[in-house]
Amino acid sequence: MLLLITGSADGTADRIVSRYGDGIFRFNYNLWKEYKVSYTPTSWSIENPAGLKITSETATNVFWWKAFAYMTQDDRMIKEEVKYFLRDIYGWFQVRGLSKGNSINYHNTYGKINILGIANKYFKIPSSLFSIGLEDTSHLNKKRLITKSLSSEISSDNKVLMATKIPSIERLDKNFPWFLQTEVISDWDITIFICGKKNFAFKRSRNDLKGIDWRAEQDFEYTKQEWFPFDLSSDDEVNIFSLAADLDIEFGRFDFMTEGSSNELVFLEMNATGQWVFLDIKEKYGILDHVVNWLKN
Amino acid sequence: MKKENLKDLLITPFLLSMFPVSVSNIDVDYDHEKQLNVLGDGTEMSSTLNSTTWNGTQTFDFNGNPNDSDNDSDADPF
Repeated sequence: MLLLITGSADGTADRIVSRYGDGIFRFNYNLWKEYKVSYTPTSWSIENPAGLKITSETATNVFWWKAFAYMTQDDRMIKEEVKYFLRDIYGWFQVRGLSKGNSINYHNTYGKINILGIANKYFKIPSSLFSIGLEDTSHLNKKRLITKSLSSEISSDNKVLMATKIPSIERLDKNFPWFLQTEVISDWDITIFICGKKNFAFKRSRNDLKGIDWRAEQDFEYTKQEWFPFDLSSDDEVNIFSLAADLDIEFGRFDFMTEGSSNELVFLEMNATGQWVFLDIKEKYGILDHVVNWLKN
Repeated sequence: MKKENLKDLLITPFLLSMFPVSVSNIDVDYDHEKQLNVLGDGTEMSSTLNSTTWNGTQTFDFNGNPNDSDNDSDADPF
């Protein structure tokens, strides 16, 4: 039985459970009070209110998918106690080689700039710099630049820093940390989702974007298809799996832009737990079936 | 502050930040037997194209859309 550690409002988890059929147990972190849990150094069991149960005897593998503590009023200490238990039991699977996907601490280990350096073995990357005190920025002078968040954290007033153009380095306040990249002039956003030995490459036109970050301008009504299959060259297909091997992953989403109107890829970032359902919302391309089969094997 | 002086202000990350796109909330219940979210009429949410979000800065919607900048990480914003 697969243990899916997630949250109750996660639509991706819903789709996985629905397609998986029997043999999956969903633990929703935010609903932790509703489960019965017993976890000892030698054995464990979890039971949900409907009587469905998973134990150390019946568990076959685990998948961690965005277990967030939304809609809870619990004290931070209590939430952390439960989260620690979840990380602990995830580790139970890991030491037995039974975890699917990437470690929950993946990006705490690999970061973003480190990954850019590794990706540069296989793909072009934008000039990139994280700077405190705006040190060592002379090579970026006179270039078209963007800034974006390194950590992707939300500010205390619930705002986010998406990829945003800046007029010049001189206009930046050096009393803040800055992650700077040269702007890629491109016709297409490209994203490649890999799962196991298969990749799913998609493109989205940048012609109709008002800003530079497509995430700020999504159509949640799905009135028109935004992402379309992209023909990955055989060289790039080899490169993407070589990069995945270097990054020690078999699951994740790689974001690129094309160089201008060409099909040459410029690597932007890799998301170890990147979303993927939106690429195939109407299930034309078999991504959900592929992910579920991968989880089962 | 006079408009002509605004151009002289230094830019901070907060000045460039924005509220993420969010989608409307949909009333759903979690069904432990099905291990799925269901609508009031019992329809499984996963069989619809509806989206849901919570608390405005949600990190996903019902269809797994990345609708804010932390969407693709596992950093728990709550």
